[in-house]
Amino acid sequence: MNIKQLPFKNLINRPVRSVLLVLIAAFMAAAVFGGTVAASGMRNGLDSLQKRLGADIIVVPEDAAEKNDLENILLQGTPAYFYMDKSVEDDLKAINGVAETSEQYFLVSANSECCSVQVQIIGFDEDSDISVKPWLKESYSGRLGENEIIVGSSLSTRVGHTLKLYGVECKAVGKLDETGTGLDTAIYTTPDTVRRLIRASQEKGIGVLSKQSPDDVISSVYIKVKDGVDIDDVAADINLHLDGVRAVRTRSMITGTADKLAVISKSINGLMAAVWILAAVIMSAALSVLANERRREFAVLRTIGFSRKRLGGLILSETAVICLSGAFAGILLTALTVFSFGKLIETKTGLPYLSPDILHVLVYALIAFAAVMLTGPLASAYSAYRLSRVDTGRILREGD
Amino acid sequence: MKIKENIAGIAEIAAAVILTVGSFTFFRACDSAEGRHMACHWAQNTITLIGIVLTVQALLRTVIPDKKTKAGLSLGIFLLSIAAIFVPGTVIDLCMMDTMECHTVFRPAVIVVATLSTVISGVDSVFGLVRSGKKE
Repeated sequence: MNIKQLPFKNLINRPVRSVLLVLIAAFMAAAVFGGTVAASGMRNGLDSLQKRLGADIIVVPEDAAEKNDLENILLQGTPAYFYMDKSVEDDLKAINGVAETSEQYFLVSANSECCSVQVQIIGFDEDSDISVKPWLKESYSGRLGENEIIVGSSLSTRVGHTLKLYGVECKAVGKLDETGTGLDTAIYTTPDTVRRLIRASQEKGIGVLSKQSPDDVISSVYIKVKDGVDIDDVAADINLHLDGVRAVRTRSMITGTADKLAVISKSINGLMAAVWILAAVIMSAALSVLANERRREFAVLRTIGFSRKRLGGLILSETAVICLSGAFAGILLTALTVFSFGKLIETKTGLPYLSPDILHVLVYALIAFAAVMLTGPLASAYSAYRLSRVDTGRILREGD
Repeated sequence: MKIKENIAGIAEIAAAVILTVGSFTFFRACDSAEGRHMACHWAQNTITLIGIVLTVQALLRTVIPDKKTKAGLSLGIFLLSIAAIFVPGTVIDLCMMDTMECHTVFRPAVIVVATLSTVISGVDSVFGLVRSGKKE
């Protein structure tokens, strides 16, 4: 037998022991890799939400702000609609410090063509838009025509396909990039198309507007504040001077999410450290017990000419093989699980979640890999030292 | 039946049973609404059927003593497991929104279980083919 194969033969001949040690190493790798990927996905989601909003202030009807309707639409993708008088936008333009305004119209589909699920429909003004077009993913650069829509990344509708909304055939001409927020499940179109859909809904007896005409209402106004002007001052000014509306600073909306994210990140880090320490302690203890059990085996190896250094090397090689297999299996299994269930994490936590890109994933995998490859051999170093110092004669006599 | 020779077979049975039972219980696709089946319902039925076939194949692989037949059955499980990965969303469309049960639970669970089955049966079939070749 080639002596270099000895560590592998030792591991293969003790399958249960080897599998258990590989499982511990896999747990360590899974904890580090899974924890870092999940925390990074949540951080990405928050950054994306911040960028996605695009505006400094969002103005919505007062009752919608009280019911957190806007936050639900933005974060959870819960379909909702609310309206205020169109003249609000002109009033907002007259407020000191307001640089740009862009109105949006919200509507909820009765149900979509494929299944009984409501979809959020958002009408945006293409000329003044600051929050939808920057996220356009597929090659669409023209203007939206009659009954043409852009779909969020989480909708399965492909570009060129049509969707029936309130009986109106709408053609998808573009798709938005993934943001990891509730906005991924929405449909975007022009104010004219939304008004047409509101009328179609009224014809079907589903009146979203009781008295007003669709031409006289808007749902929200996105505001960009002039450079150098305090955003809080502008928001306070709007809340003070305009009745029936509420100006919400986008950053304050994100603060609540950021706080939740900080708590979850802290829990993930704590859990990661706990699993890590526990696995390292179990591995050290297991290797120490095994080393004690294998004293006779090592004593025999010493008598056939193994040097202390070589004996230590054999133990370290075995641990390295175990850690290598464990880290590999742990990282692969975790990657498969975390990436597959990314959407579930997003929907269950109610937080924006955007998986990290491949480069970051590789970096996290390398960190987890290096961490396991360092901890394993370190855990076995003491056992290797102890075994290399065994009193061969005494141990062999003990067994007689 | 030697347990040592059938560890892979037992793992294949476990994966196949999880795929079969899970597909209509703990990781089932979206529920029917107003008596109407959603698009994902058909993907769920297909996965249940594939799961049943995989279970039968894995049982045969464990019970039959002939090494060549074992290797052949493992190869069959390997190929069918790969097929199962592509059923939800690729071969059969799921529902409209990524946030729906069939996208968030059913599809990822099928991918994870079918991938595990693919890896186990793939390694098993390679070892089986090598071993059966050596005996001759």
